[in-house]
Amino acid sequence: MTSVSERKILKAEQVGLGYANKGKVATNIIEHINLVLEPGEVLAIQGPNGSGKSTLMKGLARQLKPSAGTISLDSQNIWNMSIVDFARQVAYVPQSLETPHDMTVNELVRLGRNPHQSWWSNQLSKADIATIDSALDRCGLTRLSTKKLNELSGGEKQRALIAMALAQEPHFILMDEPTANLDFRYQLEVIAIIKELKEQKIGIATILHDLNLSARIADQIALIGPPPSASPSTIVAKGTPQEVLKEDLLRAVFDVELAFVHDEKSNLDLYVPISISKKSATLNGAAD
Amino acid sequence: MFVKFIALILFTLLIMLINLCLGDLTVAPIEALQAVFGQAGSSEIHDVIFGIRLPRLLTAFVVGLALATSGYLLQALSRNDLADPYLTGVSSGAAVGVACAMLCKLDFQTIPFFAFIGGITASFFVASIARGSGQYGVSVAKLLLAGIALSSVAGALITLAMTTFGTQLMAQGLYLWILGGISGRNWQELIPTVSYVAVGLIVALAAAKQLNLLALGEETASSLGLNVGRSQLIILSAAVLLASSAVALSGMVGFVGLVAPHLSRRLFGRGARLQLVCSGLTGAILVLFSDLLARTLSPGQELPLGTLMALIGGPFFIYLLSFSLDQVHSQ
Repeated sequence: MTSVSERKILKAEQVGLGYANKGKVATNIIEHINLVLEPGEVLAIQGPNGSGKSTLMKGLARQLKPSAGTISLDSQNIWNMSIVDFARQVAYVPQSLETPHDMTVNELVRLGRNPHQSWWSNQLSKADIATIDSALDRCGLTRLSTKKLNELSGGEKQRALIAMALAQEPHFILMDEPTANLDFRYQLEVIAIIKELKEQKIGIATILHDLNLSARIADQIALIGPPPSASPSTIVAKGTPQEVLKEDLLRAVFDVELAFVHDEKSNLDLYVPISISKKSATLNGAAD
Repeated sequence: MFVKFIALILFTLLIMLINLCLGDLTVAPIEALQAVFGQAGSSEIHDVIFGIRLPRLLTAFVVGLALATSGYLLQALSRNDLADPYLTGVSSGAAVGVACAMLCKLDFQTIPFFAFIGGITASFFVASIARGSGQYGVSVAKLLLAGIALSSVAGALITLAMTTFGTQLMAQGLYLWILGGISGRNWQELIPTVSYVAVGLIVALAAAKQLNLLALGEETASSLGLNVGRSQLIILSAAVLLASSAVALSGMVGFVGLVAPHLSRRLFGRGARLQLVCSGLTGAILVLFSDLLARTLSPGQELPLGTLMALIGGPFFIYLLSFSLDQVHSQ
């Protein structure tokens, strides 16, 4: 495979990730991860709870150092880049901010300019202000920019976090469950923003729980398998939604029976979990 | 905001003037100011104002400024409003350093440095316990409990060292110093300490932006390109340097670092640069006011400053604790 030097690519090769536990050797949570993310592409990461989706996200976001393999950006190991250099190219949107904060939306989004500023200054240039305004506008927050974060609804807060990431002017945005705890409407808002970012040639990797949302926006889905008897999980299937969202695969990975419905009106394939399946449906059968 | 800020500065100046005038010998404001600028009406006024009250007043100012700023920095670092140099054991560590320096009969140029060594050792110890096994974040309950444990050990160490190596006179002096007081501080002790405090303040102000980023949590801060570990180390060092210098000057004066940032947050919000300055000034006002009470409440006799601060700060801490107890529990 030849990579064009102009084109930005975020790539994971044979990556293993785990947490060091006070002196003990880290046990990997996920292993043998191979992924390629290109600008303008949406990668949805799916898998059951505890399968290591967030761990993978932390690895890609340079929060957690791989215990094996390499994650690279334009064929440069991300751990050989400076943290500022990385932050200019890859932004990370956490699931939520850790504490309620009496900071305003505008103040939050301004902090997104940090990787482009010198270490001590928070002076904004005209270009900085234009970038911030455009980030607020793209997330529909212009009117809310002077509101405090703890006055916002869940959906608005999520949009504020995405706007902060946009202010970084990154090539890639990594999102850890951007639709968690949001009702339908807010979920669709986030999805609409992701679609728009995709059009602006930003590469997006996101954890999503809802198969239906994944099917609608993802170019690629990476399905992470559950750990059968304490061994690290890995990607059990990867490909377009049509390739990955198959009955046998989903049944094996999530251990549930699903119904598939085609809605004529919206022309969408819909997935409806029906019941917990019998344990006899094994992962091994599906991974072949 | 601007008006409030100006009011804070004016109030600081006002309480400084009151401190200058009141005492066993009451001096009129004009005369006091004349004495400050070297034009005292009599040699008695000159001696009282320039020799005693002015250095004491400036000591109170510096101690309050340093402790409050240190408390603000520790609260920002641990992302919890209950942190303070006294409660987290940093002051106790610094006190061990000062006791060692006193035993070795070192002068006031180096005592704050020894205090810093003691304080930074204590802070690393407490931080490593509070951090636990997780990659990010600290447990507030562990932070405070480790602080208590460390304070007891430090107190015992000081007593042990004094009874083993020190003279009785030394032990008495040290005991009075630990109680926390700023009486009898002179220019020779004040000036070297001010330079340590200045370094701490400059570092803290330069790190204001990092403080704002860290307020978002370590994960988010690092995703915005902040070298989290390095920033935390720099800010912690500044916080410890400030607290240690204050301890070297005034012994164990508690709760300033807890109360002042709270009051200032209520008035001025959470922006780091403004908060650094305003917490500091609020702390200075608090200590100046306490010292005024300590000197004037019972004529002829003086209350230790640390005792008075504990009387004010202790209940305040309990008040805060009762409101954020759920938060402490959940962590």
